[in-house]
Amino acid sequence: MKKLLVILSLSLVLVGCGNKTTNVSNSKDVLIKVGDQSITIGQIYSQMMATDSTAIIKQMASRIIFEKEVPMDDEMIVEADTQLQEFVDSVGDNIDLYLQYYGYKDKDDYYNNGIIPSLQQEKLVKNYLTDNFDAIAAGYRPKKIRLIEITDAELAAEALAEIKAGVDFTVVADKYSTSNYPGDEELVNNKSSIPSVVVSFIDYLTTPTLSDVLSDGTTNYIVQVTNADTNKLKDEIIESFTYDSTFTDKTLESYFIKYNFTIYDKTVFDLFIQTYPNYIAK
Amino acid sequence: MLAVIKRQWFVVLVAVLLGATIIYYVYDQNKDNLPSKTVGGKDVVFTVADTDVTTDEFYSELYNQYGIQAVYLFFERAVIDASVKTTDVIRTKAEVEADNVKASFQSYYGTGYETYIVEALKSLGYSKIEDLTTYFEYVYKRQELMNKYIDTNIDTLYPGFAEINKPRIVSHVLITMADPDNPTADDTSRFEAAKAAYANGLSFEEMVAQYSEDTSNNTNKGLLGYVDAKTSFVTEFLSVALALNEGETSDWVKTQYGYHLIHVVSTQLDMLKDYQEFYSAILSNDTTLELNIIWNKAVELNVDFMGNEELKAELLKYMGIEG
Repeated sequence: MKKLLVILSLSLVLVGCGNKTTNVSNSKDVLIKVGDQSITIGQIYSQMMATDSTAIIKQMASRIIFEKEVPMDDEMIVEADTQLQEFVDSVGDNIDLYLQYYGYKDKDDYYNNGIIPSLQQEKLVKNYLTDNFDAIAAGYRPKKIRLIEITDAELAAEALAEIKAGVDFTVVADKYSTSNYPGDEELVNNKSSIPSVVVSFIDYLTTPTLSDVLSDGTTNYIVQVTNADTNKLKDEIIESFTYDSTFTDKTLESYFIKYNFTIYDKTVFDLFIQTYPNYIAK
Repeated sequence: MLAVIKRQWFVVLVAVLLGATIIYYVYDQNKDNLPSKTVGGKDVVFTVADTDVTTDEFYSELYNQYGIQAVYLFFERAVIDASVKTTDVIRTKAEVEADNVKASFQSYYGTGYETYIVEALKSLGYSKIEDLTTYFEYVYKRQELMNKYIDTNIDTLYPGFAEINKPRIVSHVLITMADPDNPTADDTSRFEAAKAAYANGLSFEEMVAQYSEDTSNNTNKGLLGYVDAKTSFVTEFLSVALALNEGETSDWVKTQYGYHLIHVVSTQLDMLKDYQEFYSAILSNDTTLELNIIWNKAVELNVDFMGNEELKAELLKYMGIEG
């Protein structure tokens, strides 16, 4: 009985022994002494952690994932070399100024820590989009459309009649459009920055369709869906979504979870979860 | 054994219930805790794809991006702490300032206000709410260090500064008008009365006491305080205030606020030194001055970089000081 009570008491002592804050191995080493004051590596570490450690954590973990999933190949090296040369040519003698502005020490630093991770991330996002294309296409319902905005309702009706009579959509747009929508064909999805009345009309269409005049109460739109076949548009959709930060985030979230990203420091964890709540498995 | 259990069944029951309660309590308290990990005696910050990243690797990466800023933050504080004592006066001023900030945050953020203060303190190298007073002690000690340096070197610093910035202490009388270009009958009546009184020989001080409508200073001789060429007053006011000599009073000056009489109380150095704005103006007149004061004091205190010449060079470069 006494033994049992001792064990139970020890269990209570162990409560709260988790949630560690990490420290560097030489945290007590002194960097600078001034008068009776000393500055240690541990102080610098704690300060840097509190300042903005989350971006660095994400960057370091991403690099590890990139090496697993999309290691550099000959094609990427050629592309990286080209991008570096284009940068050097474009900035000329101001190269040091530009590198400093972007936070790189030198050309090599920019190449290794700027261009290469960027190319690897691009490839990873494309892989993610390809692997998850059906689900993404079903959720975002991308399609190609032409759009005209016409303020006056009567003119909008005239424009629609001309389109129905066979006049080219862009010609009608040139004649009637009162906005930045010139009637050119563009790839959109249900999260695109186009008028909500247009999104509502096109969202579930699966075949080429011409709308009637759509009004949101203040202005009028004519929209023509030219291609709603996501399989035929697959390459174009992937290319377009690759540079959308929404899909960059979704990609990294997915791979951070896949590779069991785990933080062991309470301070870092609390900061990280605030900024990137979906990068850590719940 | 069975006989013992049967005989002391109540004690056994209590022990089992106690055990179960403690086990649940331990589980409940630890279920949200993070695991910890070390590799080769070094703390691991995170793991991904079976790759452990230690604090030492993490420190190195962090240092590349934020290291020298963090070093300077602690360096400056060390220099100030080593060179200026925290007197009772400084401590009291810091406590008052900290209380003011807490009251302001509390009124804005409500009950969770301390979290916001701690967040702000973290970026300044502190970690808890109690550090707010320590932070203000540092601010006042820094001010004292700077002011002492300026006082000691005033013969070098002041002449060039005074020639360009024309520092002075200024007072005024103001007859307020919402739209001075289109005065109301009441505006005109009040202004005419003030004009007549001044024309009839009322002194500037009497004008302030009897006519000035600037309630922020009309019971304090109309004192606006320290003014120089960089003071953010409206141009019409500032140009007249800077053109007057000590003791002179302007004619009526129209600005967007109404009509003013402007009076230069003093241009004497001794009186200028009563104003912290004067010291701040001298510091902001030369962007390298504060960093040079910190570095000179560090040298005086025999700063030791523990043989790390690279760190010294990096810090001096960050401070814009030639090594």
